[in-house]
Amino acid sequence: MIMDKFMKPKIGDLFIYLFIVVLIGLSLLGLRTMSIDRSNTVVQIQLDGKVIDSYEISQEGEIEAREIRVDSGQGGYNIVRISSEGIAVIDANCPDKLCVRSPNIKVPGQSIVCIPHKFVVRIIGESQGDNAVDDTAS
Amino acid sequence: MDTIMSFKVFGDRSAKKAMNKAVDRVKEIEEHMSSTYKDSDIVKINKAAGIEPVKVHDDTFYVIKKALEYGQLSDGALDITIKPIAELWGITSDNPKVPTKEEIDEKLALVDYRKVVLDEENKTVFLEEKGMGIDLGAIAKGFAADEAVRILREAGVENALLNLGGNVITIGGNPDGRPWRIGIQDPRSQETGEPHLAIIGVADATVVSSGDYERYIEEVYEKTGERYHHIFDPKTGYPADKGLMASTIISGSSIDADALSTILFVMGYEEGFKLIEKLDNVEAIAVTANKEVYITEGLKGSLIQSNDNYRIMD
Repeated sequence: MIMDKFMKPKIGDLFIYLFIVVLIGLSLLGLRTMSIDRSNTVVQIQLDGKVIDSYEISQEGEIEAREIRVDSGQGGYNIVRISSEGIAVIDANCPDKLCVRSPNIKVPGQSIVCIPHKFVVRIIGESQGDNAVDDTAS
Repeated sequence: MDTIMSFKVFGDRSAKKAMNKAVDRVKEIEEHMSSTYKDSDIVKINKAAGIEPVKVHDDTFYVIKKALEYGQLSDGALDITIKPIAELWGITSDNPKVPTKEEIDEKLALVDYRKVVLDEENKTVFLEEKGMGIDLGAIAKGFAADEAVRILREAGVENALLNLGGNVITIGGNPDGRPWRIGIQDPRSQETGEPHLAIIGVADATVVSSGDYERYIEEVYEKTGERYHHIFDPKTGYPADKGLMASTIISGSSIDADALSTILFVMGYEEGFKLIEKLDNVEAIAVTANKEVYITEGLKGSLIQSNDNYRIMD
């Protein structure tokens, strides 16, 4: 019965809360060969837990490559590149550079995190392929 | 806890309240059990090693007690007194190094979970020898997850997906009526280009993976192919080397899943599975160095293979 309630949600009745707290650490996930999964896909950039920017990925054709510089205060920055190869942090001035070394991300649910700058870039969307997952145990 | 958390909680306004409460509880647990927070119970216990017992919060006491039980169950494969060895290697620090055998033997003498003395009545913890130290990294996240789940369930939440530093915790299934689809990380995703080893459908269960892929000395690996990773074998003082690249536990209890994934990784496939098959409500996946994937009886047929680089041994 509960499931029924959620399968036909009344708008305004159903709240989905997504809460991200960055403490310390990293999440590394990546794909090299698969092309980017683009079903209703949005690339979201967060600083200190707040969404500061998001980009819709077009459903058709080549993804127009772009680079976004994100300044995190006190001189800190990360440069994100969005392209058909996926999403990558191509430069940053954080001490560990783990974000720059992270593999490109390509499917919804994946993220690149820069702990020193409290910076997260993630792919959000409904993935419809056989390989779609809700989350990954790592 | 060195951790990123994400909470997806489905429900009405009371669910949001419960979620905030759960997050606060997780933070509180971290404050009590972190090895780095200045005033945590763990820092106090370690400072007083060989000197005096330290009174701790009830939750810290409970987690240490559980950890010692796992120490006993696994014949020391999980040993929270591994800290002197972990510090010596510094795998998770900025300056990791491969120590000498002498250095390792010296620190290994300080590793013994049987030298952690608990006083149930006064809720104190005492490390018998100076230089000893405990770290709850292998188990505190699991406890925090169980607490978060308890708080959410008490508030009536029936669907949620939490991620605590890579540990995935589910309440119910996906609200669209199917189980949650959880990917098991490919331990060699950097090389195979695949994110997942396999995918599993779960509801009301926790999925925890451990492996040699999370933290290791990259410089040494690139030069020699030797992977000095962050999960130590308390018997040798070296990174665990029983033929596994990764282990995964699926269980209704997060603290069990957290502890057992480390235990399986340290014990290896054969011994680890012998132990796990004896436990109720616990399933496991072991990935060997030659890319064979072993699974417990209860998982047969329910694992979706998404990656040709591995062979599932059904």
